[in-house]
Amino acid sequence: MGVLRAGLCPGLTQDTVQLLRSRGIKTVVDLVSADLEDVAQKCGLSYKAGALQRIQVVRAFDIFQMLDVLQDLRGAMSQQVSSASATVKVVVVDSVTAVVSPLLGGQQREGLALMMQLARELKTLARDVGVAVMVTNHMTRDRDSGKLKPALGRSWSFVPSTRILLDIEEGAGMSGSWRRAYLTKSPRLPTGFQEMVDIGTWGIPEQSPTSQGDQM
Amino acid sequence: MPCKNGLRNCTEKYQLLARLEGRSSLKEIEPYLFADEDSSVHGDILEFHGPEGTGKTEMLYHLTARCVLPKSEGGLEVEVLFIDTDYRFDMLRLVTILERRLSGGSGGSEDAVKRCLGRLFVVSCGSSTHLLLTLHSLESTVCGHPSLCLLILDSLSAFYWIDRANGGESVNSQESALKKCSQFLEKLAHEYRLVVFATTQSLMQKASAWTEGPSSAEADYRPYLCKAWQRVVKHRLFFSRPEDLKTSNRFSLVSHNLKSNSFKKHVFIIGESGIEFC
Repeated sequence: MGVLRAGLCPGLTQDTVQLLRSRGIKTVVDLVSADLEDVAQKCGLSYKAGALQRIQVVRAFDIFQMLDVLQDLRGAMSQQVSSASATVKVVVVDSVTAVVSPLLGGQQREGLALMMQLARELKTLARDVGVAVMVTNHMTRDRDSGKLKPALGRSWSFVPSTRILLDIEEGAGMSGSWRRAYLTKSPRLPTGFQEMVDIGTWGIPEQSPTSQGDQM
Repeated sequence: MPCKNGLRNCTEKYQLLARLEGRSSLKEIEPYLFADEDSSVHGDILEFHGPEGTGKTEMLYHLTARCVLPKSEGGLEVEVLFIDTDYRFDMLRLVTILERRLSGGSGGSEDAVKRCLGRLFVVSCGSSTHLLLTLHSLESTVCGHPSLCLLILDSLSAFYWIDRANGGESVNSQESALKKCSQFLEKLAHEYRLVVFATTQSLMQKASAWTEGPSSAEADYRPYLCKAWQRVVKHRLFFSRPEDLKTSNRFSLVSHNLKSNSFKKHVFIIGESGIEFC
């Protein structure tokens, strides 16, 4: 996940990628977690000071850590601290399933209450502080119908205001990096809208001759 | 006399009574949904119930637009109070709906939109206790705004799990704030002749696969909010959407009038300008 490769961001050439790899830095997470000054020195890397430095990675492995992180962020932003925290525009939680699913199941009321508290924290961040909040969630199979549905159940389904379903697109002439994105919930757009994305090049997939024929 | 806030003058009390008579009825607010309603009846509490993505909040925006739009554009030109409990209120969406529904060029409609929004009050609440305090404090607003006809609560079930966890083992203490909110809502609806629309989310799955009933939406209904709330609801509207989104964009709702125990089904689509009944 998030493996470094050439072209991922300006200044990241194939040589740079090899150099980082030789220093044990293989993924985006490795790079931003590393001491960049140190990396720059060791690799003789003159990175375009910016892109990767602006990603703050925080680890949280249970709901309480997660709530602490969010509350700290909210506190830092509301105090107008002039640091990186003050200019946070997007918060990404990857994945919310990991911290919430251990709470669910069984008769635990507290678990659901904690989940809703997390929902409230995320929404407060979005609304009061004005950041874009994006979370990832997994799919599970419905017990009765066997159909795939988003994880975390009914109560969580009310929480996101927009939902995009990503699915692997398989078929003749299609490369393994293609994904289909479906808009399944939106406060402003009609649902059912879909688009193909190539996660290898981060653009609209280039059609091969055969599939182009099918489209017409 | 209902209003406690400093109405000592007898004349003022009569004036207030006269203004109360003028509050809009359900039938005026949405004739499609409430055609069978007695138009002299004011002060009802309605519940919009359903799973996510079934159009409950869209319906609230539609009803809000119907109320705040000027009479020249087919609206009622009355005021609406919108209580948002999940940080869900989408101003951009409401403005889009108003713009689409207002005739005239975009130059003219910006002022017109502002005038419409001037008839809307939006309040946010963070907990069920906060909601109760807010309702109490809003009584004076309702008193002072005779053209305020509609109170919207989106949603009433937002604090359900948090309340259940905070109340300890006693169901009474878990439900106490919501019980008081329900009773106060009834008072507001009854004394001030307000129409109250509250959404509740389908948080619970029906334990048994019961398929009887006028529609599967109603069959899926498993009441979980406190009895005090069940008692004050006069109409329950069950929202559902088709299983297969690829073939149909039609949403449906079943309106259950609890007084007369009658059911009525309605079908609608959601467009740029909001809900359109089919």
